[in-house]
Amino acid sequence: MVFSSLEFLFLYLPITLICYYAVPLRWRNAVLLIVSLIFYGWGEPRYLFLMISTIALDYVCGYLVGRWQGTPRAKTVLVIAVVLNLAILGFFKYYNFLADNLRLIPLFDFLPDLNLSLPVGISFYTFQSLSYVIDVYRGDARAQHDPVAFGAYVTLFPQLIAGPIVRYHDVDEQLREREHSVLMVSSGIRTFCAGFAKKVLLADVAGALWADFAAIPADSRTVIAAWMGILFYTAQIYLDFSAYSDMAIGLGKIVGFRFLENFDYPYTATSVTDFWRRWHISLSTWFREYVYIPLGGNRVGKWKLVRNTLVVWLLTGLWHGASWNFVLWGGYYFALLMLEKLILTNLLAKLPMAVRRLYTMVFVIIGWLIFTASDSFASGAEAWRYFGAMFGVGAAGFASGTDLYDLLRNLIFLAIVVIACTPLPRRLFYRGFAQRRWVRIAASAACIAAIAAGTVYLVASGFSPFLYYRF
Amino acid sequence: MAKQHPADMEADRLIQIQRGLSPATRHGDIALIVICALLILSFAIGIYCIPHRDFSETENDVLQTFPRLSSTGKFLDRLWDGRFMAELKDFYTDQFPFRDKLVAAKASMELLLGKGENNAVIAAKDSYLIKRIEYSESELDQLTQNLDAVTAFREGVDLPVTFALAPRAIDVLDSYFPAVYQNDRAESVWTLIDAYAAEQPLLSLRELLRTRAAAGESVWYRTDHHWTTRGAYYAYAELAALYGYTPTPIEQFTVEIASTEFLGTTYSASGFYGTESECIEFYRWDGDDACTLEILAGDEMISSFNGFYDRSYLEKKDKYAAFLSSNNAHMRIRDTQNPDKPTLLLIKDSFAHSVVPFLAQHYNLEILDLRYYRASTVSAFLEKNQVDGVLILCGLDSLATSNLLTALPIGLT
Repeated sequence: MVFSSLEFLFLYLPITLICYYAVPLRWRNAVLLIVSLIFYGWGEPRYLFLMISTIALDYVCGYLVGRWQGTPRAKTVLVIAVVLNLAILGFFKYYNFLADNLRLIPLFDFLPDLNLSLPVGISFYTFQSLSYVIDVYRGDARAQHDPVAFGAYVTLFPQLIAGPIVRYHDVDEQLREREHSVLMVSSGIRTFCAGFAKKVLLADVAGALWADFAAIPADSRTVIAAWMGILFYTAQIYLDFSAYSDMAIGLGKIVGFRFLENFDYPYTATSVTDFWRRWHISLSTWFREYVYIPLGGNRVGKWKLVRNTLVVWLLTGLWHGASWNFVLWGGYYFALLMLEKLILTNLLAKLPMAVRRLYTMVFVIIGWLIFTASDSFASGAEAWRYFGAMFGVGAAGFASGTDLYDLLRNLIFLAIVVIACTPLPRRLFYRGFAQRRWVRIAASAACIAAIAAGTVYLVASGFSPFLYYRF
Repeated sequence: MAKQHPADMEADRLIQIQRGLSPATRHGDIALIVICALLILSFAIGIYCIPHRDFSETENDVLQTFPRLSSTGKFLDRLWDGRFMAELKDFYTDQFPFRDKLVAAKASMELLLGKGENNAVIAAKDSYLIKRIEYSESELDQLTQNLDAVTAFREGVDLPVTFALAPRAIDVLDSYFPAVYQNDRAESVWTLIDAYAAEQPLLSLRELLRTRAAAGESVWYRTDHHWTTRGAYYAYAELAALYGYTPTPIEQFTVEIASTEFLGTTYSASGFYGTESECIEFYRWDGDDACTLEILAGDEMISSFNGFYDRSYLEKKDKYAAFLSSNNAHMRIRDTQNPDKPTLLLIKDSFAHSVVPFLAQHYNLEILDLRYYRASTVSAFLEKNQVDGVLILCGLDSLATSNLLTALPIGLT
């Protein structure tokens, strides 16, 4: 189930919240566990067992690591947990990709085509569950002896299928005790509504426009059409994914959890390094804490630093999907980040803000073209041709009349999209919220309008898939 | 432990601001919670309180009613493979309270945002609804395959073959376009068509209909993707000129207004539900009732009626289907008063349906729709049936989006 669906908003959510608030405090984790399993099973009943075994595995491992803390046995259990978790993830996510590539070598052509479908959210919940065992091993968190609380942590429906990736030590306390208050619920509703509107009214619309532009035959693709298309995709992927995080954070607050922010206006970044501090923060943090730092982080020699960064970025690329373009995408960011770290930092600092933002966005946009290549194009060559058209190579002229018509008719929409990608709305809200009553009333009215307008668009489209659903 | 991210500090600050506000502001928060809860609950409960529809006239489609919770074993099966959830999802989409009004509201919101269209339907001048159709690479490939099939067919048979192409609304109605609309992307397919026409005989009906439309004649439905009967007449007149006889002048037909309540496919797709309905006309000629239309499956006749019109469709949504009783794999038209007319084999899509009544003045017709015709191949059909000529008449859009003609040359040597 996805949040931007009628059955979530008008069936699952009311029932879940009524059950949650109807039971006494000590049963609320149990309610959360049950409703979250239903949430997951709704889309993937067959993979429920997989998720339950991950929970059981990491519960037992965490328990043992906690018990044997400081002994070599704890390390053994940790290694077992890491290997098994990654083996499950690796098998379900990467088997097809691996087998397809290995079969190119005659020695491996016995590998069967298992046609596995990717269990929804496996990349998210495996990382989450794994962080628990590691946190316990490092002493960052106590072992959770209550299997219900642990199960609730792994399955928590708000962030189960598309993040943010909540590390265990960030919610350890909240699993025992959290704030249920009017303030948290109303604040949660505001965050959820902002995300819901962003997803249904902006991201899905931008996505449909990208689909239209991507479908223009290469022979009649103009420079402007190529740029408009990839810009709509750029808008879609941020609005879609950050909307999901907003909805997750909002729903979390409604049931008393504070999750960490996952996005910090990445399209206002002033360098590629800055972009990655602001984009999918929970994933970068995860890789930093559980891969980069254990490898030695940046307190190592130059070559080891390069190696560590390369490892992290190839893994980040592969995490997004089992396909070569994601590896390329990871490598692309490795190269850019290294370039910035070793050469460009001082140069960039001298440039005006506007130039730095423009520089960042151009590379981010090209990055998205690599990112979507396997999804949006029939072949790498097609994606390459699209890239060429952006810079006039093989393009059918600069702009066609229809391109300009599409630009003109989407001007208001584009303006809204641009504003939605900046901190401007949030800043206005901050400034007025404390002092002015009308701002608070307007904010509430906007929430209700968001639910209403979002529902109108949902009913009208009947189609609203999440991009990040499959990672 | 890593230091706090600036975004989290911001979020904390907001919560702190809220905490610091006077307790009176809590009333506003409570009001927000209550209103949101009521809004969601009213629809959540409402969907089970309203009558559910089995069929949507607007969409011409069966609607999902509440999924059956039949015998336990089956229910568990459907739960396990996700069918139950898929049906429930459709149920929520199809039966949502005020669904049609919400769909119309979305269309209005799109217009308010200055988009000028909804679901790729342009709100054009004079209440014309025009579908934007722009082809992708694979659709252009499909089109080429269909065109090549005609060439191969023409080379493989010893009969005169005429190939006539009906344009799309967007190719004809340029005089009704909104001022800002530019048509070149939709137009680009004609480079391919024109290149084909330079090599092979092709009767393009576009220019003629476009001129008539520009002169204010209603040759196209305002709410449907088909031409009107008047438009069909001009197609017939063009064909007649090609075949070398004089077409019956338009004034000699008696115009029967079959329906004044036609709202076609473009209307349904658009969400512009305020658009007025329009007329469907039948152009009648003396003795057209003496023609019989037979619908066949293989060698067997399934049904037949006199004339070309199945008026039962006029009571339904898809009123254009009254011409020749919608799409059938094989139809046969015989004039019982003049059985000696030459026989024409017509390979077609629905654009031909409103042209057939005109053609039947001069021909008996065997009509095949190759999307549905599975009884045999066209070559086998020609061996079994005596025909004097072949007419291929179809819409451009069918050629780009279906394999309408690809089966034509099968079995020819």
